[in-house]
Amino acid sequence: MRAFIIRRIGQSVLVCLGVAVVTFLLLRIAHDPVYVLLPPESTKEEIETLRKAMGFDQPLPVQFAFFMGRLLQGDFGDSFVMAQPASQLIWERMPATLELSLAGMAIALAVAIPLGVFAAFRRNTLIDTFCTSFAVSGQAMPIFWFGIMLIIIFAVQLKVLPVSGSGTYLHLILPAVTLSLNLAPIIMRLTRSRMLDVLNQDYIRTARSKGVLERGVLFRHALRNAAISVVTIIGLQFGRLMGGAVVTETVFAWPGVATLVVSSIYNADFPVVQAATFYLAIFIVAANTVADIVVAWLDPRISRR
Amino acid sequence: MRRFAAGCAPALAALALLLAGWPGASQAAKSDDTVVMALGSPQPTMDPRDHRARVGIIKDWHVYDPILRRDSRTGKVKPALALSVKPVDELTWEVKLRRGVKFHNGESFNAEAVKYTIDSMKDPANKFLNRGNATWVSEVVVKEPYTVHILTKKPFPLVEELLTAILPVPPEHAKKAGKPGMAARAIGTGPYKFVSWKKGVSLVLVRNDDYWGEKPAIKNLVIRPIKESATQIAELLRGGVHVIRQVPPDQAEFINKSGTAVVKSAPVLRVVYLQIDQAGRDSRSHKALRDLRVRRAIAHAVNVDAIIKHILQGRAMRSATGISPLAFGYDDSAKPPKHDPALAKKLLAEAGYPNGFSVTLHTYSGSVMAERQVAEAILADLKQVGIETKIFHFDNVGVYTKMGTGGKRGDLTLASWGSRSIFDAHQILLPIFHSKDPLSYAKVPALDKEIDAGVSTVDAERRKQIYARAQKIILDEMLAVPMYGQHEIVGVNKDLEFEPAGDEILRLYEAKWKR
Amino acid sequence: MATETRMAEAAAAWREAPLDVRGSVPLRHRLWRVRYGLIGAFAVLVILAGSFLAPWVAPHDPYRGIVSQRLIPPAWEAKGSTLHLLGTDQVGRDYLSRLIFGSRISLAAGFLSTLFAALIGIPLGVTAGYFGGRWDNFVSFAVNVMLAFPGVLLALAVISVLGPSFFNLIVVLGITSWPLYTRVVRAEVMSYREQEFTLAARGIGGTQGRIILRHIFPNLISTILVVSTLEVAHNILREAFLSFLGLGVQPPIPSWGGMLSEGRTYMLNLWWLAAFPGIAIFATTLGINLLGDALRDFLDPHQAA
Repeated sequence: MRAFIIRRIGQSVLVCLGVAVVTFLLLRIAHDPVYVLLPPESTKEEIETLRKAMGFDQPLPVQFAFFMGRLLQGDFGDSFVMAQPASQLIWERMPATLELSLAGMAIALAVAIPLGVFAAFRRNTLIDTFCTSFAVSGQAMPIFWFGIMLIIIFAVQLKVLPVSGSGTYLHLILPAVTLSLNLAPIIMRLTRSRMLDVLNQDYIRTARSKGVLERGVLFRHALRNAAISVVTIIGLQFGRLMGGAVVTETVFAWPGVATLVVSSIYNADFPVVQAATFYLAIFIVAANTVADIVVAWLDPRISRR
Repeated sequence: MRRFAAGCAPALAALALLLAGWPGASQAAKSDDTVVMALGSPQPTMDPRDHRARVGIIKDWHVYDPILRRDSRTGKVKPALALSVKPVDELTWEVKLRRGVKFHNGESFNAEAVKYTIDSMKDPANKFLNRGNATWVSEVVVKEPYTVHILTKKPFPLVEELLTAILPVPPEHAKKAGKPGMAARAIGTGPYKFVSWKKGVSLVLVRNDDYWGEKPAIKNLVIRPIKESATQIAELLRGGVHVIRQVPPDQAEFINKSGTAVVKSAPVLRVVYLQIDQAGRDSRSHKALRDLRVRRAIAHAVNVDAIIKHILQGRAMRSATGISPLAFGYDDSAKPPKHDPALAKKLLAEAGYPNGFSVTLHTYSGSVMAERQVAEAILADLKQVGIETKIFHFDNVGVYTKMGTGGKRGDLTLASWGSRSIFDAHQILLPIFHSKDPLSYAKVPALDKEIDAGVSTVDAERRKQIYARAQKIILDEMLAVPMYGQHEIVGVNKDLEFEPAGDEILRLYEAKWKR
Repeated sequence: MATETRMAEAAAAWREAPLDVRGSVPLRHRLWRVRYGLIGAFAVLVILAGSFLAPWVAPHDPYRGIVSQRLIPPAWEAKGSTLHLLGTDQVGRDYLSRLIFGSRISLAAGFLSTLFAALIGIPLGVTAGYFGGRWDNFVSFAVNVMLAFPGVLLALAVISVLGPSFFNLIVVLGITSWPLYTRVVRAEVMSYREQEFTLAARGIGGTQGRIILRHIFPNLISTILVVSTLEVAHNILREAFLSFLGLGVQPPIPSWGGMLSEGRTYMLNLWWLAAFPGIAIFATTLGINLLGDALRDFLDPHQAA
């Protein structure tokens, strides 16, 4: 087990570095950031002076060497648009995104797992059909549409919740529900099918028909089975959560990292984009690593492979 | 099944109780004397020297004061921190400052503050993003405690206008707090004081009861960034926000009917025009555009009035020359090209293109209101006379600017120019029409001469004549199809009395509650 | 995704199930189980037909807009007219026609990008799974890096470099989808590698290439089919997402994502601008999801009850 954990963490570190390299390359080839900093009316000399000052006139490998050196110290430079270090900007806003993501995940789990279990036990009845349709519909809807619909219904028409912003837990509800749309359907269907797998195994059916098996034992066994898949999926969906966060944060004016990243890309604000990508990748990789370790703990067969 | 329902009942009951007792709406505005304004992007910094963002400028005018202020009703520049600005000679301007003004931290405002502010802005070591607003100054000399002499490099007629963009900061505090301190907290001389700033969430200001000028009527101001237009409108309708800007013209009627808010609009300096690559700067642009008849045809093909009437709901000012009707030097005797598709076809045929040709239209989102729709209306108009147009849209301002300055934005560009809030024809003639400027796609030597002449003299009458000639050249050569000056369309809560101004700076310090 | 684990297990079970179990579930029975899938298939076929026959089915030219006739509501509303059954958009173009022609872009985007992803991902997965070793390590590393990358950032970065166009859209969506194929296929191939029939084939003296093509590949088809249908649905939703960020297909080319994105500001009053493309995306994605689910159930012997 320990060897597995060490191996896994080692892999993660490599992956993070891979991500950093890719981001560096991608954005450097893309834009000439000098034009963003200066007004269009600038003279050629002003442009060249700034280019030199920012170090953009060096050859690419040299720039990369500097980049990696600073990255290991957590320094991504100052934002081009806001007068602050990029790292600081990201960390200021990261807690809000994490809060939203965790809330979204919590809602998704709280709704989806019980529904999945319920649907599995009441298989092929109306309830099952209802739950499954619910899930399938949820997977078919663009989430910004869903978010704006929620605002229209709950904030504008019924007036029970605030439209946007953050502050009280009331402000968290609509955005978290919107975000959970990405996760809940998959988790529900997964839970359901995993439960069914266990329920349908021959020895279980035999035991049940004989009236031998206790509800409790059955439940725990099935749930454990489901847990493995659900944990794996959560790790994998973390990246998808970011996409959802971009939309949710924009629609609800939630002060998180995702919108900052999007506007930074539009503004060719390299330092912020690089810092954000790197830290987000760390989170995603960490989430996946933790998920894998938890799964290995739940199912020892995996760690022996 | 029954057990499930039984299990649910208490949960549902709790939920019902919760919803019933929930405060929900209570977004009282008048009662706690707070106005909430939503702007499209977060505040970049609290230091007015270090950004060029519109949302930042709006906030700056509340916490800081400019040296000269533009009157929102007359559009004329009037005294603010300066009592008078007079030219001493061709290169020197004497600025007499107001006495008895204090910064919010108690520091006195005086000539030293002005010198410090301008010097620090100009200093390349500081790398302030708003440097450009101070580079016209060659030196600031403190003559007396409340008098400065501002020296320019060349005779410069725009001194008064540009002084509306200089907002003094307290020197002692700035030196102690350094860049990070100034970026985190705003200490100025303005009508509102800084209370708190939660980045990306809200900026809270409170009325400055020791203000030297007319005290604002509203006590508390909150500025919130909300990017999504639908969300802004939802908040306005709900009463969570009281002022929003850049309201799409199509939503105006709806907001007006809502009973919670109304829409107000005012003409602003930003002008929209269709730039044509007359100089052939972009090697890929169609050679037909070199022919004056083709350019005239394009001007006659585009139905600008229909665009103003239907897309903008009448909220725009027709410009005859491509310059904002609000700018100094606009020739209001000029006549815009008439909408005449038949004439356009005839001209095209004469030029050798009876079946039209293909061009690219470049657009950039963010400053032209409803620019997608305007671009597509132009597309339809051009198609009618046989010109096939492909729209090339930019969302990235960096790429857009780079293509522009790099000579790669040929053919047609649907562009707008805000003239950096300087109400003077020079501010658009130079960057857009002078052949030497990186963003210009025109090359007419006679026009260059006029533009250079116009900025080298301070005689207002002479300048007016020079600019009238310049505009005539623009129309004769049809360097750009003149379209219109935009309106600033704002949504305002019904309890608030507030009007937008012509320089796209929302002055909430002039707002008051309705009785 | 956990779908992949499920896929792998379903396929494995199918292979291992004794022949008589497979045969014992009559076709009629299996068709009834997948009745929702048939509805889904039917819906998808109708939409596909509509998009192929667009020039004959659409009442107006989707590109022709008359400025004075903009924003006319659907025919059944007060100010509507039967000339424009679903109303007109902000430039005066008939909405129904745009919806029909828009299906071409959205469906094409969904299918082509999935095809692109499959063409990259499947060979990589097969070779990585079969040959193992360093190549497998490299491919797995690449997959992990890609998955760590917040998909949003990748899409944004690439399109802001290349510019928004239909071709670039396919490229971006393909790039975000291929890791899934590789992962799923690799896992399956690895389990087949040790199967008896492979060992037998090797014993007889078959070459590697032949073994892969004639023995392993056919078994993958069911998995690939199911994954593909679900990815097509996902890519249609991703197209809507990219349009939300302004990076989708550019006007005046009609696409559901673009129409939905442009209409979202008007959801409060000019509701039809967002409603119709939203319903179109929803119905199509729902249909495809149902179809995919049905395919999976059809091929899975476990749900024999």
